[in-house]
Amino acid sequence: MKHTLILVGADKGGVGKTTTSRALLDFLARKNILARAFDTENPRGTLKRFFPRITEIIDLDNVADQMKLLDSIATSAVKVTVVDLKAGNLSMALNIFSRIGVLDAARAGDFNLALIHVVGPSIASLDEMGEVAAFTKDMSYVVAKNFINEANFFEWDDKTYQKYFAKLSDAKEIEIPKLNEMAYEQVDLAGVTFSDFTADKNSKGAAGDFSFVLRGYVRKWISDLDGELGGLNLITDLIDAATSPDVDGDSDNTSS
Amino acid sequence: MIFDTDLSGNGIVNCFPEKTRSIDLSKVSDQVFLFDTMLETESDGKSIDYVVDVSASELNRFFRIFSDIGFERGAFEIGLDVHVCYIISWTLKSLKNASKIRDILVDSQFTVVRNMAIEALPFTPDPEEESQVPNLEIDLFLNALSPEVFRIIDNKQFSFARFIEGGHDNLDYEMRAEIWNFLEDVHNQIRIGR
Repeated sequence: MKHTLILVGADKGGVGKTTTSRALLDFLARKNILARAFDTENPRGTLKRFFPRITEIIDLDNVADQMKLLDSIATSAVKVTVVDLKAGNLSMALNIFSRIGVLDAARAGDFNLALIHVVGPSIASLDEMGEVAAFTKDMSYVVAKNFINEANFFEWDDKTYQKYFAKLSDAKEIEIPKLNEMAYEQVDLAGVTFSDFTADKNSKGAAGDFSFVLRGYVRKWISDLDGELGGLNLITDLIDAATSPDVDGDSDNTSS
Repeated sequence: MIFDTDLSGNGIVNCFPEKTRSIDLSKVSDQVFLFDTMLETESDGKSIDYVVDVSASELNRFFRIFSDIGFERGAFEIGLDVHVCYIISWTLKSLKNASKIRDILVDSQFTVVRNMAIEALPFTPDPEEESQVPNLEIDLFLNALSPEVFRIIDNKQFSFARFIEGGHDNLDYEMRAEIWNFLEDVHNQIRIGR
């Protein structure tokens, strides 16, 4: 199975980038696809709180950390790497990757490269899409419209949006559906994965005593999200590869 | 315990103020209180019956939440029986709503109730509506009461339980007989349906 490197980024903070990374890792775990994660939100690392066992915090400006992430791609037994790029660092990170030959290596077929670009409700987000277009040739480029935080998240003019979107070759679009605020907060407070929350498990694996209603909301949200993620070729390829007979390893890569 | 989703204050809370808690379904905190209370108490081993009076304006929201959170499955897992009584009126919208609710229920008992005091004329769909009329069987008829008796039972001081126990003895014989007939008829339909 060829390695797949999935970058999750946004040039603007507060658009739900880490939530998208969490949702993606959660989805992969539910599909028994082993993944490892790097959180470039140095030194805090929100993602690590939810996936402590598989997440490492790195500083993308630091060469040693760049090596930790990229040099291990060829040797890692875990074939999916998710990188949660620090808010505002998307263009910079793509520049670094371009400079050190990561994009060329992906183009040459050394590994699969994907970018999930989480966009916000502003023209600035559209401009971001224009900026990253220079880097997205030959990689899977997914624009994630995140509705999780606000009900009316996307209020821009659809025609304008489509105009920007049309410029991006082979771009796919997904929507991260809205999750009830109280349910979202409870998962956040519990510091567990979305799946563990629905299973009523706390971060130590014991009974969480979480509200049935809130668990129900999260269960519904996961189910809606599965439909979105499951429609991406990038994901279906991973699922196919993971379920093919030549794949080894166990599936215990969640935080619980 | 009773939950009343009618926030006007004219709902069932009016009749059983001590036993009723008003629920604002637009608030997640109230949704949590309503559904979690029913499931948590039951799992504590106590046997409590709950009645949720769902106002017409909250019907869609209630069943959307009911379905989204998987309440029926949760109830089934802990052995809580769920009975849904839907009071239809003779309109296509009401019949369609009944059919929609019936279709989302898997483990619950669904009872279609027809209150004969409301819209006594049978429903006749327009020709173009005929194909849309769902196939529903009415399980329980509530017979129409005379206006005099209806005024008595509509008074919040009136209680069927107290009436059965021999209370409200100031009512005249004919009124008492009419109420007894009404209750007996409901009882018999439930017994036969069972």
